[in-house]
Amino acid sequence: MKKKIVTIALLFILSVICTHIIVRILYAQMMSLTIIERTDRDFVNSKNHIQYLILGDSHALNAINSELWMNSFNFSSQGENYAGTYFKLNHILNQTNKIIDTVLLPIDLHNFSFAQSKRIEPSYYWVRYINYGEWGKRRQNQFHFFNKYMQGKVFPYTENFEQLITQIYESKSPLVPKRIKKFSLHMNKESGTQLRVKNHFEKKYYVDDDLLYYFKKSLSLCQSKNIPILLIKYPLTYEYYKNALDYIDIAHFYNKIYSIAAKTPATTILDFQDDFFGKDSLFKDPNHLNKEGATIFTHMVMGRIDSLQVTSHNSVLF
Amino acid sequence: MNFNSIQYFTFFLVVISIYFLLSHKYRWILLLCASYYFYMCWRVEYILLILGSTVVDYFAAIQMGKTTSASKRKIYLFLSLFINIGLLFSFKYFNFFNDSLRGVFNHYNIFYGVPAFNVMLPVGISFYTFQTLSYSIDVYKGEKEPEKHFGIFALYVAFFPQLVAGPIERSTRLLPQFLEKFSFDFVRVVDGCKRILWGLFKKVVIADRLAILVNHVYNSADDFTGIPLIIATYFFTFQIYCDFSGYSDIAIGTSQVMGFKLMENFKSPYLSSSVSEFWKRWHISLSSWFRDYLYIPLGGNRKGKWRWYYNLFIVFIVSGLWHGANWTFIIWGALHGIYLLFTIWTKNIRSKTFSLIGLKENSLALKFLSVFITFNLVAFAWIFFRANSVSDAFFICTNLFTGLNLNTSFNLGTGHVSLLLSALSILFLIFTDTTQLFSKSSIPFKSRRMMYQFVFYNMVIFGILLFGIKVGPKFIYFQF
Repeated sequence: MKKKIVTIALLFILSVICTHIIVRILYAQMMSLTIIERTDRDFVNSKNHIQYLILGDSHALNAINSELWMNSFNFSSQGENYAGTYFKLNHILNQTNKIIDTVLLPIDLHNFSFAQSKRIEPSYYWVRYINYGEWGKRRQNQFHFFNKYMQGKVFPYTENFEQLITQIYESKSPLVPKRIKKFSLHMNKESGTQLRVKNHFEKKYYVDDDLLYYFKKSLSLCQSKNIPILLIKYPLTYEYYKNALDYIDIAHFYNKIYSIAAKTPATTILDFQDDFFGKDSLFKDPNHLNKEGATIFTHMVMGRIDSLQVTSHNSVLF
Repeated sequence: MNFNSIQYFTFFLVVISIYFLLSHKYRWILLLCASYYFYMCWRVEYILLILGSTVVDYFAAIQMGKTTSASKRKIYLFLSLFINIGLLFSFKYFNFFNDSLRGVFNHYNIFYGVPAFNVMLPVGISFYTFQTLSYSIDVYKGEKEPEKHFGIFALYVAFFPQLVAGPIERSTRLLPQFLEKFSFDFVRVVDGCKRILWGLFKKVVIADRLAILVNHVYNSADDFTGIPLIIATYFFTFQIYCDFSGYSDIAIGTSQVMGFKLMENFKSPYLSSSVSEFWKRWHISLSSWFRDYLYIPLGGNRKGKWRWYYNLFIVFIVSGLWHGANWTFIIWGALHGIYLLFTIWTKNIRSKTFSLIGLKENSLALKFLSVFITFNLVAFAWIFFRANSVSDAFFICTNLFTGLNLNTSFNLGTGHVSLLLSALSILFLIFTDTTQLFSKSSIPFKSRRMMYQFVFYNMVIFGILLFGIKVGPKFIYFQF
């Protein structure tokens, strides 16, 4: 009897392991269809010499079209915060044979917010870059980050399986109305912007010490490799900027960022924040450029950089 | 500490491990401490209410056991009832009656200065109060010897798996089990775990998913008419079932792992072919409590026809009021009372009609039709249970069939994938419930071949992992 029970228990465990393997393979297949994974593959297959490496979150991802900019690679990903950016940069510079001439990093209003510090998903992707032990120690929540690590390595499907299916379905199904790509045509511009700004800044504080720490580390890392840095203030709609004023002392915020940048040689700040005010048709939502906007913006950045002649010995420019 | 949280499962694992390592003599101490800790996780100070209720009922029962004088026994029973119902009234019903009275006084322009009692409702108060009340009444009636061991009695009142949302256990069933010695039995533990898994699936995969859509519609009911209201009402019908029966399954499974057998609370209620059958299968511990401690003492069906109708109706009104201090719950209870009376009154007419249209008494078609009608009646009554106010409920009732246009697109607060998952999970539930009903087992697929069990529990486990809502709402019945 005892032997039978043990056999059944073992068989059941085996069946669970088999299901786990099948689901994990299925998950990996589905993930491979996502932009984040495609970008990763493209990066591996890209040329070894990259003149301009763009890192950041969806602002940068949507704003710069690498296809229009020779020798650039936009390696930004949705929801990426400075912890993710640092670890990714560290991986690129220390564990790949890519030669990077210049790194473009974002310094937008929300880049250091508490809400942004929480966003670093999916673990399946990030586990290949982030040192969760270190990140957990900094956040003083090692259990949570160990959990994230395990999720990334062993049970990635527990994090976002349904979102993945939804994402794939929505991109393919004719039943789902496609999103309006022009912010100017949005029905609820006002309330939508208010909600977005609230989600970005409402919680606790708008400068997270840990994100600032990884921002500084990213600058130091580039400095140690003699790589010039371009800090970009990406374009916003006026609605977004106006609403953000309710939550942030913008002047104080940028004084803080500029003072950090000033301490790092070869750091240049390019400010495009208000360049697109009143041009809502170039945005798809309050803070992301659409394809048309990205084309214009990419050319603007290229032109501005050409006029700067960035080298590793430049000082801070405004 | 919700049953569907990591904290609970950590707590459960720790308690279970120590439980089986401890000698039987000390297990009650562990379980009592664990139960008090579990309750204090909600609000520390409310433990005093449980302690107060425990002390009063313990001593009242001991005193009842000591005396043979009927009048003295009555006094002790009255003391127990007064304290317990008093606590329940103060925390749960005072504001409701106070507000209702204020409304009446205001209507006649009379000053009414009694202030509101602004405190948070202690979680599970209706459950443990009813449990201790049944003990006092049983001791008074001589059906149960008073429990002499204070610790064991305290554990009966506060036993953590069923403390906050039942099943409402009888002292005659549960108390003797605390004195029994349970050793580790692998098969029993596995059965308990299966029950927990199935309960968890119902809660996090079905109920919490449906809650998103139901809340979206019911929280702004005025914005909808027709199909969204119908879908939300049917979804709530399944939400509340999965939420509450899911909780009961976890409670029963947790107890089963330790060796305790709690009473069944649900037996595939939506497959009932009449409203009276529904109440024999839905929240059984509460409906049997009302039967034994209210309906029968009122005279049941022994005091003439009209008194019987009156008793039935009163029981349902009180049952509605038990759920919550709001007119919506009272109307919900009354509606079920009306259903039941209507069923009794139309019994002959229905039989004649069925035979006229050629439906035989035990035919499958009649059974199917009865289940369909009962299900829809119950679903309709849930509108009052879920609606935020009486006016919302009436708005929903009157707009269920207005603007019925299938071509109209509507926003149900969730995407197509989630909607599809909701529908699939409901089908999975109906399938499982039907198999349970036929196999007469409370553990899904227990009597099936091993291979089917493997497939089923793999689906349950991976259903939870893949599609479970990570941060869902609390169990609905926690508010009662």
